[in-house]
Amino acid sequence: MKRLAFLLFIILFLTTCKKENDSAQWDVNLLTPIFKASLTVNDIIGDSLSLTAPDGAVTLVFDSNIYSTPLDSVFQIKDTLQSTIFSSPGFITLTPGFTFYSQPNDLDLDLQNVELSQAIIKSGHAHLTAKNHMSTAVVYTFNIPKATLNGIPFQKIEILDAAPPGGVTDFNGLFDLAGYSLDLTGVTGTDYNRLSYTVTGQTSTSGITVDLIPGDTVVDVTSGFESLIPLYAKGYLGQGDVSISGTNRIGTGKLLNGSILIDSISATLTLKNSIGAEAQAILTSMSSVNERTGTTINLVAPDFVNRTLNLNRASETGAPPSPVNSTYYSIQLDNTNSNIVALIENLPEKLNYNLNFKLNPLGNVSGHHDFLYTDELFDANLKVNFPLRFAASQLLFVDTEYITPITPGNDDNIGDGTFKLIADNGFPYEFSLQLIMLNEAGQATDSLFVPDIISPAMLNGNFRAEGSTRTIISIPLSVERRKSLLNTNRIAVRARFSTSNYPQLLQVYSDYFLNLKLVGDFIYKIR
Amino acid sequence: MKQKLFFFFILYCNTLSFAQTDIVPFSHFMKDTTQGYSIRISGNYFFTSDAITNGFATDYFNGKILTDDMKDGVSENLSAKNIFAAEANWEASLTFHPDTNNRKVEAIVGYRSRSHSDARFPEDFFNLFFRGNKMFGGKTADLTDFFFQQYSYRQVFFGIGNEFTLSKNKKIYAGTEIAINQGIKFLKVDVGNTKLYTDPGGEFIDADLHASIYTDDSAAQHPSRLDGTGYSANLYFEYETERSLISISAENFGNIHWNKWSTKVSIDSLFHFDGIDVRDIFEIGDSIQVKDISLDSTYYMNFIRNKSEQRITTKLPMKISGSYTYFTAGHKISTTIGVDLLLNTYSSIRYILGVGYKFNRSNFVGITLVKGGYTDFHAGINYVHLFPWRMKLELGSNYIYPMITYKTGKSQGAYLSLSKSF
Repeated sequence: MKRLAFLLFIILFLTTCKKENDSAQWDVNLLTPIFKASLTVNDIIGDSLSLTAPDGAVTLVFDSNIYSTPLDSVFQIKDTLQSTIFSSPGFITLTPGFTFYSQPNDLDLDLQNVELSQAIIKSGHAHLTAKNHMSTAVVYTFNIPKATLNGIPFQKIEILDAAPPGGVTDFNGLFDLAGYSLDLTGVTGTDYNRLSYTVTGQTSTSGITVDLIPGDTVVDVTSGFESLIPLYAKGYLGQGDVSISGTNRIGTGKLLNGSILIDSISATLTLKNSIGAEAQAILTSMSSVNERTGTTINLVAPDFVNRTLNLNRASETGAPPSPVNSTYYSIQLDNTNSNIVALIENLPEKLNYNLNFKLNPLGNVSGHHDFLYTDELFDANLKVNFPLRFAASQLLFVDTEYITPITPGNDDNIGDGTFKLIADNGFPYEFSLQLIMLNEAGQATDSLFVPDIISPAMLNGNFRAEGSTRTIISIPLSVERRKSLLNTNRIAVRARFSTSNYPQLLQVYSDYFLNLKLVGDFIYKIR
Repeated sequence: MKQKLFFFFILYCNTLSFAQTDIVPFSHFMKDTTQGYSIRISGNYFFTSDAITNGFATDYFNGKILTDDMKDGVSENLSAKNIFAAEANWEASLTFHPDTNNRKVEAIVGYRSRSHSDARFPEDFFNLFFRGNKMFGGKTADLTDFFFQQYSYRQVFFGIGNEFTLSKNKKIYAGTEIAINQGIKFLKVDVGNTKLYTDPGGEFIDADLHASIYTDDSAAQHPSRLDGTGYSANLYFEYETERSLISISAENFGNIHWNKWSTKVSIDSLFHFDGIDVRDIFEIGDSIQVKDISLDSTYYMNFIRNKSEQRITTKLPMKISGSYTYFTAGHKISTTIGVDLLLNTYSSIRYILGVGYKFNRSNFVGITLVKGGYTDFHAGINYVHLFPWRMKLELGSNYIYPMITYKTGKSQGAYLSLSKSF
């Protein structure tokens, strides 16, 4: 603040006359603005969340994805590792370049009633662990003939050095399969969920001849696949039946009490199916929950709740991976076909819902031509248009903020004073604002802004606010009180507002504003 | 006889001589052909104003609390334009006869340290600075024509003088000094048309700012760490008869060239302040934690647009003085009238009347009555005592009268000199 004094008066000149390290002290009475803030409707709810009509009437738009189907609710590829240990049955001589192990595997991915013929891997890897007990180097080759990347089959070759006497050499590696296209029809080409691969072992052509005796370990290999997640899958996706219970918090958790009357609300629930399979969705229930009052209101919408919603299958625009033509199903909820207004007037902290989701209700009607892209499966989107025409009575918002205590330092020169909060209110709402300082135990130690009512703007005959009404709130601030404020590390904000002429519904217009300014009238100690 | 002559000249010159920019009775000339050398250490200080009281100034400089009563005491004296000045000096010098065959010629070398401040300020400036802007609610504080300058510098000086004998009882003394100045510190503030309006409710402050600020190289970037150098000169002339003395002098005529790292700041701006714009007011935690924002850099730097480093030349405060002294009662009583003018300051012409009385060969007392300068009427006493072995003590003050009325008086000062001839 001493610097602010400099700003105001440009009068540090005389301080240069003083003895070094020897400063006179005196008090000055300052009368100065400190901060200002201007709040409009857009400042409060943001441009992206509002629509403004030509006459300035504002509509709040809430557009949110409330549900996305996770892949594992359709299918999940489990990790699979197979171990092979083979010992010499007799006296065997292995010459350089001799293939001593060649094991084809036709791995079943165990997808239950899902039958996939093709997949493109988004992430995951093949895993090979091999140990060499022989005194010559060996070469292991991991082949997946039906896994291709840019047309080239998957093949990895690893060389294990000769084992020391009585010891082993080993290899343990992961091979990335991201981007590989898997043909899951197996060795026969007619199966599903089959991932065929081969691991072969061969003595090194540059090695030595090895004489094995009975019981010597020849093969010690573990192979398989881990963490496979497809980007794309094709086949028959089964008849998955999923029940989902969800909760969406809707941001009124800081609202403590009060009541609100709403003119109208319209909501559009859009179900989006990006899976290449038919689906059915049933919203079995939806409710708004006000935990403060213990009030729960269930959504009553006969055309929507507990009704089967059939979703057509999406279509592919080209060979994978190509964009998908999703299908949509929309339901309109408003005052005429639901009690959605009552749901919102309940001032809920959260919305609960129960949704049943079923895939391929008619079975494999596509002949294994279902498909899915795992990044986009099934989504539910809720768009709410809330024309800001409402009446509110004593809506009380409470929030607690942790703040960093301010070390007085050079700012400790402020003496007793009175601060004025000047509010020019262009809203037809009566506001009250209180800042409550809390101690470590959360107990109130002091509060600012008493009396704390910011008067509303006057209404004209059309219930539209005209101009603004000025309120000046005086805040005595003694030195002790200021220190208390600076040293607090927790502050509670209590904001209460009511619309004028409650229960008259009032429309919010975009030109409404609230200008706040804090003016200080205080003693400043020059040091 | 030699001793009588020596003492005569001491008293004689004490009543006549003026030095520095204050009235201090130290002689410019040794005027003693019987002695080969004279060394002297002297110092003086003063604070004078036409508005600021001694009590206020003393407590300000001593770092004490300035109460409302003290401010009220100053306010009673304030007019549309007010001035104050302060100065503190000390010096050591050696005077000698460079030509052993011609004792009429004398030379001087010495070292001097000087600090000078003076200012002219409007009434509103004092009130704004010491009382705050609340009293200007709904009014405009006019800060126009505020001026302040402060110098601290050292001088290494040398000079030469000569006695010209016109007849048995008529002599002319003429001398000059050249000083090499070493600038230590300087600040100069020159405020043009500057006004500050405070809204009656404090909702905004409007300022129309026009000012220039000059200051030295505070970072001491010059390799010598000297912030400035320059030259100055003193000229002395005295015409002496058996019963009278006419003295004319020009002192401290010169300047200091401050180095190229000196700073000039020009402020020429309209400024409207109606509070710091706080956004996201509902994010109160964030709002409160913007405490680290430097308000001065955020705001005042916006209107200080023209700041440059450059060489700056400043003229030193100088004095031109003249006086006439008449001796009566066998040179026991001396009466002096004089006038001086302090240039490069906001002082007015100063008129001096002095009367001195020699009690005996070792003690002399004089009184001085002064009108003008930086303040109103003031009066002082000076005393000279001659010790054995040609040691001399000179002390006094020209501000005894305002210092007696400490709380309401507006000037103070004192001087002291100790010298020895051999």
